[in-house]
Amino acid sequence: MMRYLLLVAMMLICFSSLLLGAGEDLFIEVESEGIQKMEIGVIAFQPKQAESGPPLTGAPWTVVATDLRFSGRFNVTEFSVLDTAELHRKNIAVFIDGKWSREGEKVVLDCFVHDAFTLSQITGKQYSVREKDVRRASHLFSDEAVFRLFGEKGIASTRIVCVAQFGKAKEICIMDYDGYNLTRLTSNNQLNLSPCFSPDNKSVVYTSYRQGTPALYKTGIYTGKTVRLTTNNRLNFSPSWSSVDDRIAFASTMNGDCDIYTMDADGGAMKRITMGGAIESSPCYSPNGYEITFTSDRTGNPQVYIMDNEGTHIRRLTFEGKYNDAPTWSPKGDKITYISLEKARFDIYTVDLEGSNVKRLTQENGSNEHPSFSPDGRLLVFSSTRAGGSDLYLMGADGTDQTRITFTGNLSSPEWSGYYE
Amino acid sequence: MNKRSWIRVCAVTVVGFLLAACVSAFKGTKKGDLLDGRQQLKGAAREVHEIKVAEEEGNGRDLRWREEIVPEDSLFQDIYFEYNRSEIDTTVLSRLVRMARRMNTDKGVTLRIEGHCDERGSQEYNLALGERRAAAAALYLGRLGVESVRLEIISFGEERPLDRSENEAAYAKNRRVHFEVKP
Repeated sequence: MMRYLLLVAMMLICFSSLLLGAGEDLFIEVESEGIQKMEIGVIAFQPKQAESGPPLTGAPWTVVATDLRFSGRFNVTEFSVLDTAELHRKNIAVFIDGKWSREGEKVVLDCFVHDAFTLSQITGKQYSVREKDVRRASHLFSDEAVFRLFGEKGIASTRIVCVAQFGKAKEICIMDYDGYNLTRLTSNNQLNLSPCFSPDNKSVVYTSYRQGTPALYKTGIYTGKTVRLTTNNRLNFSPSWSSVDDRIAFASTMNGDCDIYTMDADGGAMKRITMGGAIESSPCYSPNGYEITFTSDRTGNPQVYIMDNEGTHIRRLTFEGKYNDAPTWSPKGDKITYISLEKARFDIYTVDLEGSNVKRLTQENGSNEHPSFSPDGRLLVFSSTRAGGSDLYLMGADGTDQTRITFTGNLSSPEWSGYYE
Repeated sequence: MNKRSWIRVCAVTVVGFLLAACVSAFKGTKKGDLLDGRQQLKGAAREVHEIKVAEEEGNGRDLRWREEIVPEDSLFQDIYFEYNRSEIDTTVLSRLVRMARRMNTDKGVTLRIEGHCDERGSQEYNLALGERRAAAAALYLGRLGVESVRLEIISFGEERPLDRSENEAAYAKNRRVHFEVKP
């Protein structure tokens, strides 16, 4: 009798441990949907005097409305005239309006954020700019509105560097984050690849074949001054500039195999940090500068790894997929985005630093490459061939709202700047 | 006698038998005897096996070194690679030997070795892969006596495809090392 009792007891213990997940930790996941979006009205700016001159070429209020939508914080409704009753009916508590006028060559914009119920002013800014800089002023005001309403820096004034193909040549270009004002930074009619911003957004480091072999160069965005950083005649590419200790990590074959090196921003104090016969490439600094994520094919195919900035404590991050590359750190440092090859096309994924929570952000829509986070971590820019040629797109960091921002069909390798002060 | 001591007796007996068996096995093993026996068995099996193999058609063909035949004037034409690989195919090894011979007789020329990839890969990894392909060719030529200063390695990754169409034939054409003889 005792024996049977014992048996039953043991079976009960076994079953209950199975039911409880055999000692696994229990996590309760709280998925926050974020703060509910703020309802905001954008009223078309009115001319200050009856005769303010010819109408504005770029409507600054539509630029502001688009910025606020991209910021992911607002539900934007546009109005042609101010009608507070209509605002109240639509439950809109805050609106943006403004006035414009001309003073000689300059356009003067008076921009306001108003409370729709008390009509009191939340913020107001005046910009006096040349007509071609009206978009810039609008972006600055969008960031002001985001800062006043949410206490966080906005990204409307940030920029993106990318590579544009012209025939056989590829040139480094810069543009506003929304795809406007595409401007060439190089024009040497050679291959110029993998650009990266300096932490102060004032220069770009990239690979160029302008002197025959692929070396790293630094070009001042405002000065146009170009300096060669690497002196060897082998391959040097994929730079990443640390904002913490001002060093540049990059991949090079200067000692035979493709390994990762770091150097000072002027090319000095070069240091090799990976060893061995495998290809190690595409380094990217973590936001705190202590770690580097990179690609290595030490297991036979390219996978994403993390190491510290001295090249030690190497650990593998990606285990799914046979070909993963182009890792980039999120500005908060909590996840890494990378691309994975499947059937000759790339798609964009994110993964957290433990290698779990792999999320696919794009699928069955051309080849999607080279993701880069906005400085607030809310958006990603990437290149995609979904519309034929290679163009740039924005999407939320969770893959939502994929929006095309360029239409020239020759752009690739985008990299988002930091905040503009 | 209780249960436990019975078990002990049994265990001792079993161990004893095992030991005895081992000892006798050693004693009986004159090396020659056992090996002879095995050999006989193996020999018989092999005979049967060989007869069977010979019966199957096409066996016993002479193996020839598979080799590209390339006229002397296109000695430096492109060599091709498998997808995502940088190993040099054995069929072009003899051509590399002839290239090295040419380079060693004509000391005045240098050789630019360009590595290229097909588009199925990331731009950055392909730069490294192209370099690895060019370096593989340079390594062979170097081992065959060509001075490394006369070998210039450069990678174009996937930036200079010969054929932009998206099919295996085009990809195969683009995965190449291109040689340029420079006076």
